[in-house]
Amino acid sequence: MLNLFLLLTLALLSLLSLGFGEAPLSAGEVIAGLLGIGPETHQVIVREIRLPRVVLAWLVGLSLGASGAALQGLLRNPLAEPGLLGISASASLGAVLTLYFGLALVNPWILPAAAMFCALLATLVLQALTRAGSNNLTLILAGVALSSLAGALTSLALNLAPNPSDAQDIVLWLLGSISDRSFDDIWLCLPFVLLGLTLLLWCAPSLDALALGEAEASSLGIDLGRLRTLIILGSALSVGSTVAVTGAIGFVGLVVPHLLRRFVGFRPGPLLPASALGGAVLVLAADIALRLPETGREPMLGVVTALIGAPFFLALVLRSRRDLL
Amino acid sequence: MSRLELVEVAVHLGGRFLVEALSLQVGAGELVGLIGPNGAGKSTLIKAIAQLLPYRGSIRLHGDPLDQIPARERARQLAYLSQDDRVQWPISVADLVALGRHPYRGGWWRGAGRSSTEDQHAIESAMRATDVWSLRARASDTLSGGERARVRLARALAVEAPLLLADEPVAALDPRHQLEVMELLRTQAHQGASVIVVLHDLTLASRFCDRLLLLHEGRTVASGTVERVLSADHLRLAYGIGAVIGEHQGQSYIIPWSCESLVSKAERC
Repeated sequence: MLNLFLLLTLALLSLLSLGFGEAPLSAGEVIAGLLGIGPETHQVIVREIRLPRVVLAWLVGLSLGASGAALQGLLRNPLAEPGLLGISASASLGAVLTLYFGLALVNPWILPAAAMFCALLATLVLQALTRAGSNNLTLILAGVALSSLAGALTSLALNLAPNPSDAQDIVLWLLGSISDRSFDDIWLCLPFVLLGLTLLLWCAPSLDALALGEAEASSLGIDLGRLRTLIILGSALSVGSTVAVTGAIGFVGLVVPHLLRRFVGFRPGPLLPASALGGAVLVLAADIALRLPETGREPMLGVVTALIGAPFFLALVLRSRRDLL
Repeated sequence: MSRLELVEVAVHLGGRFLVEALSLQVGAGELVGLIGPNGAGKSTLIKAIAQLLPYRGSIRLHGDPLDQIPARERARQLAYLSQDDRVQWPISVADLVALGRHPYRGGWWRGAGRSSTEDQHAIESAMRATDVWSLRARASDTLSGGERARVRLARALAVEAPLLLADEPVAALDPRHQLEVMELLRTQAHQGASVIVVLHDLTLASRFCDRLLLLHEGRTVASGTVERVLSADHLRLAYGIGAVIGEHQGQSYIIPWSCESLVSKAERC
């Protein structure tokens, strides 16, 4: 029921987003354009200019929502999110390095490839650090360390940027955006996003039992080591590859699972697919919202999600503190 | 043949032996109490049996080495109730108990999808046995300590495993609920399960258990019938206490009375 509602919302928002812009189109015109009927200009606007943006919003939202829910379930920690493990930060670092060295201008594929490579590297480091006698606390600590390191190196690149325009490029990229992307960008990240999401969804049913703690979950036949590997890998693939294309977009992975948890009876398993859809809804909605004010310069998506996310997060902290009293 | 057979089991962690040279046999329908002071290795032993810790020696169930039974099959044979009673998310009581059926779920959507009538039956009878049926719609974070303990026990019973391992299931309970839970474990044994329970209350151990295993510093101090194990000497040796041992309705009760100087391992040898 909830998933159906989220899917419907997603479809409506997609139509809205496709129709919205300098040449406003009605829902009918959008659908006609999508199906390849109607005026040529409409088809081009809908399918080539606006559709990549919508599809990218889906991919980013699905990845962040699913990873957030999976990591919160796995780590039994409501604060967990893809950013926590340093996967986003490492992917950002990879992209920033190509901007710093001017490689991004040589070939448009270099930046996303470097970002994905760094996300993968971070995953391998996480795996190595947490393999022997690992537990979830080790994983969190390793993630925080990795995240700080990647953040520091990114700052260093900014710090030492040879000229202001490079620094400007880096900053803009770090803010995160899904505008002005083409289907080339989508084809680049799509296989990894799909693979990552499949791994995460595969893990969903095992997450419920983790509510009982790691010991009882293993006694119910759940292989914790394998679960941990699959979820780290799934998050790295999906989030790393979308960060590679869009830049860092924060707070979605943290906020969405919290928004939806009560509607699935607080069970981490069913929360995962719902949270994936909810992430897509939130990113798409934020992307429409940031285009509403007619100021000429639209704010970056990463900034808008953080603007929505941070106050919500504070409210959440305040509420949980009240629950404790 | 015993259902569960431990031969020379040792658990070595962090440079020292937590359990050493321990052998034990538990038959069908037996309720075995694991007693001993804090740090004696009771929880360690029960975790080793549940395959949650690496160990040396052999642990066999129905004659098969437990560590070679595939995880899913093992999860149907062995239910484990840990000492940690936190439940992470405010999941409803019914959903929580249903987690006990996880090892039986087939297909991709294991653990979250629809359950068979067999599952439903197991879940309902476990909840009725532990008297938590009326709590089924409650969120787990609104339960009292005693209610939570019974809900978690219901979760373990829902597995319907022939071997039930319970680590201090009565620690958080008031006297009445302690008796109820022990009677419940007794009933499980009567119905054919093998139950191993970690206890601190010696009178409960004496009243409800068929046999006892008294541990001290990872080694067996005494093992066997209640009368044999719960002697004043053994209690002084293991716990360093002087106890009043009395009899009521043909069963002994034990009241820890005074602290005695602890007998060190070296002196015993």
